[in-house]
Amino acid sequence: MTAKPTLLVSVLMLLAACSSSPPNNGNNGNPDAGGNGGSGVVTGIVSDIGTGVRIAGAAVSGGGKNATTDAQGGFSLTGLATGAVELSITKSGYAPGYANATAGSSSDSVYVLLKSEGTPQSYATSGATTLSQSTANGPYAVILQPNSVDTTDSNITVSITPLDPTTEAAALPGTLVAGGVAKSVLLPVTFAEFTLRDSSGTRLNLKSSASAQVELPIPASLRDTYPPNSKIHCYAYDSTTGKWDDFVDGTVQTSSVDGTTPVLAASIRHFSWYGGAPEGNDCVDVYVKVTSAVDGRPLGNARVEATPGTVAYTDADGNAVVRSTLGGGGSKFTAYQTGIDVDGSLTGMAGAKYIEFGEVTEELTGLVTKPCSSDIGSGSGSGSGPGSSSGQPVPVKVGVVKNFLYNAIAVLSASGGTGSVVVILQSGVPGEDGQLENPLPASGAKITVAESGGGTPVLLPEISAGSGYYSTPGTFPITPGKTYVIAIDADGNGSIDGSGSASAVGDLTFTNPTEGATVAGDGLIASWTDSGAGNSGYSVLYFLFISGQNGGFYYVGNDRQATVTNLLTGGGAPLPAGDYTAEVSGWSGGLSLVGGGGLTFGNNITGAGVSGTFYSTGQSTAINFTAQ
Amino acid sequence: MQRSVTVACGLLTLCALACGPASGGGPSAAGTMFVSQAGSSTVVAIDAVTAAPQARIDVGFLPHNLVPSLDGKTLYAVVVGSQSIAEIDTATRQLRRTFLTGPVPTSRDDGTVIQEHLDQDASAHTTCYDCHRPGGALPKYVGDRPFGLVLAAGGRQLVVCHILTRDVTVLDAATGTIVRTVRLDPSGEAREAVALAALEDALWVALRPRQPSTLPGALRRLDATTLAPLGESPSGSDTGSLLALPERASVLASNFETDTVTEHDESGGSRAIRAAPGPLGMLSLPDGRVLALDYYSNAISFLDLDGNRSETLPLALGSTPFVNPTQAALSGDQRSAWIVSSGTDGHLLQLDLASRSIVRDVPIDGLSFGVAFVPAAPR
Repeated sequence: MTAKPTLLVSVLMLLAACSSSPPNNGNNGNPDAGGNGGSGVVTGIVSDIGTGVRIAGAAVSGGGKNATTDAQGGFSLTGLATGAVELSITKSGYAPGYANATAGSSSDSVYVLLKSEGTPQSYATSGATTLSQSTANGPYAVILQPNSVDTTDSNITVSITPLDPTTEAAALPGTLVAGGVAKSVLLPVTFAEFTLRDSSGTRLNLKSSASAQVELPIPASLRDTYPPNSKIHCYAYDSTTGKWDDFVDGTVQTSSVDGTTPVLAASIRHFSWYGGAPEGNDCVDVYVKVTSAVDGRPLGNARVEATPGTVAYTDADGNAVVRSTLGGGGSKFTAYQTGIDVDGSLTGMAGAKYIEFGEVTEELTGLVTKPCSSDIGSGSGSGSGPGSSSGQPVPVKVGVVKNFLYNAIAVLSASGGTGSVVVILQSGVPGEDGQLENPLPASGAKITVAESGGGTPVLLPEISAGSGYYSTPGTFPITPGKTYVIAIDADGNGSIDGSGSASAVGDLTFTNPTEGATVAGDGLIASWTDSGAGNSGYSVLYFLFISGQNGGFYYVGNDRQATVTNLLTGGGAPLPAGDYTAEVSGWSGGLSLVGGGGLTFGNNITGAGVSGTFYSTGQSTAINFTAQ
Repeated sequence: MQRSVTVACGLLTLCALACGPASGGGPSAAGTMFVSQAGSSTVVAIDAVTAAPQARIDVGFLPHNLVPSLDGKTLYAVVVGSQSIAEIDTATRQLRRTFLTGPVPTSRDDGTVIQEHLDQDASAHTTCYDCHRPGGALPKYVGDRPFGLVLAAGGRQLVVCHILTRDVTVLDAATGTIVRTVRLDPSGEAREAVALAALEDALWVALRPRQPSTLPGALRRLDATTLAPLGESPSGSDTGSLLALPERASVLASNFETDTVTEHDESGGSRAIRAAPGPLGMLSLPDGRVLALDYYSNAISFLDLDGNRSETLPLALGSTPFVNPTQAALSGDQRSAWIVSSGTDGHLLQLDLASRSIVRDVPIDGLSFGVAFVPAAPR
């Protein structure tokens, strides 16, 4: 990172100049349609939320202007009338993205994350159809009635793009708040985007008299909070207004696709982004200070996004107040600003769009809860914790995000109250599939781990210089069942580029059978305990293996018991008499069961240019037993 | 069904005519609009002439339907997430008191004792919002989701229906005490009591299946005194609201999922008029027509019940569209309807009935729902 204050000043001046003299068309993401409008400017960068890859060639429109993202995912819309602008971003292979911006005399910044679109599925419009998309959380489904679409085209497809707000909330369009006179924060639970297309690729929608039912899985970590029969308010995103509307009730019930997954079921009238988000009734106002990771100077006009929560812009001193809410776990505060790298000193490419980005995940404690109906920043002080108005704003350091990517694999191991966190960090240039090509160890990163809920961050030193291998020093206290957050400053410039969380798998101990026991093979139910069980949000995938000379069994699932049969013969036959060995292991983070018994492995470390997986494993002691 | 030449006069209209100031020879627009702001747990009072907000009244979680007393001195708000009714003094615009619409449970569904309720003497409270409030006990939303609310017995009683239990509860308006509660039998899969209307000596209750569903619902008629069932007719799967039309001796039901409004009489007969997609609230207009608020199509429909016609207009002020209309109330001078636009941005819109255009946008909180007009007290 080589940014200099003088350069940044000149960047701002250039942006001001751009407002009266729009840049040329071309490959740098400059406007390709326009006309004489106002003096407003919106600059942004578009990336893939799954891989962090910058997305080139995305079509951006808003305020009557159009642009196409350049090779680094950057774009500028100029000549905009000042005021609110609703941006629409489309790119083949991605669900449509939307962003809200404010065009003014100084450029507003948007950092748009797109989600890869779900697999298009054929839909015969004359019949009732259930279409689904399997994910780690379970099947997302839409149940269509006959003749729900006004078309004679026989080649209609439906794409379902799932979005798990516990890891991918940044890709949700707009801002999930109930606005108006007073702003209430909405807590995202489960979302998806539904797209209908005809044979020409044109987006369709349900005809005005038609409705469809959708089923959206409740993420594993939220299932205790939203048990069956819970009512959750649902919303559809209206791209014309840039708001979440259609406020109706959905119900938590069992998936009609796999018969087991708890899903939020609701009726929808419009195909768009859709999902459930109850009101967060415990609002807190959080004071944030944004500074440069290079020299610590306050950064004005940076966009600050609270997740969940509202959006605000920093003043000249780098200060902003955003509203968030308690009850949704830790809140994430993201700050960024985009600009143009005039001389290439920041990105290596003169004229390229760059983004200064940083984020902090903060468990909001000590702040005074206030009615969500009150004005933001109103009233006397907001408590004493991080983010309060009494001198402890949440610090967010931002730094320029490089054009190459980082991938992290982080492993959390716990045993007997101690454990370790190991991170392997690599960097490189992504290929077309988004995977790093010829990745190299990423040295010099600053990686911390902390228990969620206010734990003190512990720095993970690089084991040896140049290795890209980081580990907690000595023994690290880890409580089974608790959630831990890693924060990755991949380039070591002082700003957090990505983060993720995982729960520590506890000690696993068989309760039946036990070591040396003789048990009846017929009707045998294997069971075990997990010292991490009972903690809020704890979700573990267990693997049970039983093997012997006469039979064998395995189980994969979230329960801590399984009815044992002999899978060698099938048909539910009991485990035959003989000697057996049993072992159970647990996995938390990234890996999940999907419909049909399959497993998926997904990224749960996200950020700007950083992606990866943070997981925890645990294993029981193997036991020997005899079946008779 | 008999058509009366009498000008349509729903409860609110009657109230306006009876209670409005007489200056100028006609009913005055002066008064207060009350809007239930479900997302912010408040009812806001807005001057009906100047559109200036006068008070924000914290009433509890998810306030929805609003009903003024016949004398206009009191406004009742059913507080869906706090198992209560909030009673608001319309003159001072302050919360006068609350009362529960059902008993506080001492045990959970699994039979375990709710020790906190015993420790806190919960049954002595008059709203669950005393404890289940921001920063308080979890869960936030509790109870059986009281939703439908009407006046009965000449305004001396309030009747509430509960979505989750199908309980219909009669409360004494003077004391706030529960007079009786009857748990309705389900009608097939229709197990949720979602809307009420009072018509002469009968109460009409809309039953619907748990949503989402395409299974049929039912409209059940009850004796207003005993709550004994008098009859039932089938309905769509998701009735949004009921509107009593005394001059026609009928009840209108808005069918949220089938985009129709159906008119029902006590013989069990019904007929449908198509509205724009997603009709929710309804309002009797002075010219005999009915205004349907078309939630899903961001529109309003003028329903001509005799001509079996409807005309739909987009909900917009100039080029600015508004979304998700839920309910409307007639202004004091009967020249306007005030419409709640219930998106995540809230708006109270003034519809001029002569020009049938939106003429004023008053910002309110997002996720608002109900609206009621209370005329200014005579000087």
